[in-house]
Amino acid sequence: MGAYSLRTVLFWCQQVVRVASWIVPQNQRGEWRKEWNSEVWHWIHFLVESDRLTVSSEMELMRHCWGSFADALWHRFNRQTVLEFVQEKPQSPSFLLLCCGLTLLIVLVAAPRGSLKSLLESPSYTNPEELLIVSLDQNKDWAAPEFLRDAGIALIKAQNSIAAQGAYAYRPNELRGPAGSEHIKSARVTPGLFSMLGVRPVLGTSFDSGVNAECSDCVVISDGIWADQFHRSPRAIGETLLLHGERVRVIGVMPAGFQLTETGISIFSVFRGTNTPLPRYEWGVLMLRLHPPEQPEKLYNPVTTFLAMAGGFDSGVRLNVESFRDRTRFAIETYGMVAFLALLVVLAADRRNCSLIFRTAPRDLMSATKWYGFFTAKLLLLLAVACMTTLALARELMRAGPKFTEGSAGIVTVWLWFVGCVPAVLWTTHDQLARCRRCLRRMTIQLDLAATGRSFLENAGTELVCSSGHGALHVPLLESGTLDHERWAELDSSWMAVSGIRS
Amino acid sequence: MPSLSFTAALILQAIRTGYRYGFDIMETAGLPSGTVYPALRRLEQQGLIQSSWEEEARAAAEQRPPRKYYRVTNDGKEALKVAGERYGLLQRLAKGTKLEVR
Repeated sequence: MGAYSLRTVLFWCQQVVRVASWIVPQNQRGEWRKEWNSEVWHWIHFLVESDRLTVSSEMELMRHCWGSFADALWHRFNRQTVLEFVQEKPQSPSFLLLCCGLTLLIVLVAAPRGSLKSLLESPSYTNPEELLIVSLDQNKDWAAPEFLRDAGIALIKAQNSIAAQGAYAYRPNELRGPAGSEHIKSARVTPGLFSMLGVRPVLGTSFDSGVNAECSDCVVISDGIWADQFHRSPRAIGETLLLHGERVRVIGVMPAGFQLTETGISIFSVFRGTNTPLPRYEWGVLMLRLHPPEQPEKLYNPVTTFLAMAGGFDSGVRLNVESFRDRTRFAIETYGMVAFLALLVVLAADRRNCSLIFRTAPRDLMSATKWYGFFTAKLLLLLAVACMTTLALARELMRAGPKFTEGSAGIVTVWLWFVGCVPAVLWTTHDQLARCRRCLRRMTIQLDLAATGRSFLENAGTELVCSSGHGALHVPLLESGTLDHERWAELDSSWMAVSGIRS
Repeated sequence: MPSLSFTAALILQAIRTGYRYGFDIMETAGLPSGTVYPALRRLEQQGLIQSSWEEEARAAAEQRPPRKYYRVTNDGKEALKVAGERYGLLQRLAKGTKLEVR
């Protein structure tokens, strides 16, 4: 084996050691590298001098050099420290909050596009605060969509404060395209609706121009359909689709995230014809844009009165007249109320544990602040996770099929939110009870005090002891109001020594 | 006195027997470098072995880098005695029997 091979092997071994040395703390690096380089040097020379430097021994040498990484890691992360970290970190309150935060982050990232946007942002319309929405209660009332469309035209003439109007009527539908058929929600819109909302197609045109406004077979598709059927190809314009068996032509694509006040509509055609509508099959919505200083709330009564006098629907039909502010407020109120209801349900169902949170809380102000602060932070983070998961699920449900109207999707969302809130509150309570009242670490030492002979003394039960020796929570086997009850007992400093002193 | 794992005891015994640097210990004990070196650090930290660098002048005279040598301390000898009672194989090594660990 020649000097060339010797130098090459030595060079590569030293490079491996050099890279591994970056892991070693800087103050130990020099000596560490010196020892390893010396070992490698002697090693190779021994192999050369004993004529044992073969391909297989070279490989073995390299393998041993990789062992320098294990050694370097030992220097960086002392085994004892790592073991302590692995065993103790998961018990700490900061670790739990970090996990909850990370879960929330994962849900936020993984949630379908638009879930968060729909919660935090106004719709992508120009000045949505100037808009007034007139719709019908889908569970009770119905009116021909043409009535709302015509009423909108009449309203703009009667009310000076209304700057523009637009209407749409939506229904479940079936679409067939190059990528197959799918159940969707379609809408007929008045030609000026999109321009009134201040939204323009990202590709092609909409129904604003004179030709398209009269086009009976033109459709504008949503970003979702564009992706599903045409893989976002710019050539989608002019392509044909079958909507409810009728051939239609794509003239435009709406921007991603765009939706009307009824969500999940993915194909838009122009309001035309006077087909006899099927009751409760197609639902109309009228949207009004007010002149800027005008407050939408001031027009609730005039608009309702005007529409009632127009007489296009049965008496007793109730119209919903609302602004976007109302919708946001309503959503927040509903979510808040449901969360409160979930809290009440948990309090009623698990009142023993819930009362323990307060009964065994620390007495001094500092510890009590930490105790309740941690409980609140944990609960809020978990509720946020539940909220985001609910929104994502609801959004997926709405995309899944046309059966979900905004009303029914709202009910499903609220129900899912409730279902998500209950375990969040329950888990928060149970986790809190298993923590030290002083350091908030989970108490991992559990002592069973259920000796049969002692049960008559009424102290049989379980004792959860803080591993840092701060205190113990006594949970009796049988609770009796006068004899024994759950209690938190502070331990004296001698216990700290027993458990290894960790303040 | 810290209780020794078999690997740690084997390394300690190898040093006691006269194999005094990392490569030699690896060869004797048949353990990979990723095990031997961290074990040496741990044993040193526990005070069971002590390391010292070879004199620079001596190494320079032989045109080679200096080596780091390990030796067993009194505590190490005590720990080894206790471990020897527990691990029969160590007794064989102490008597010079060839090990077949791999």
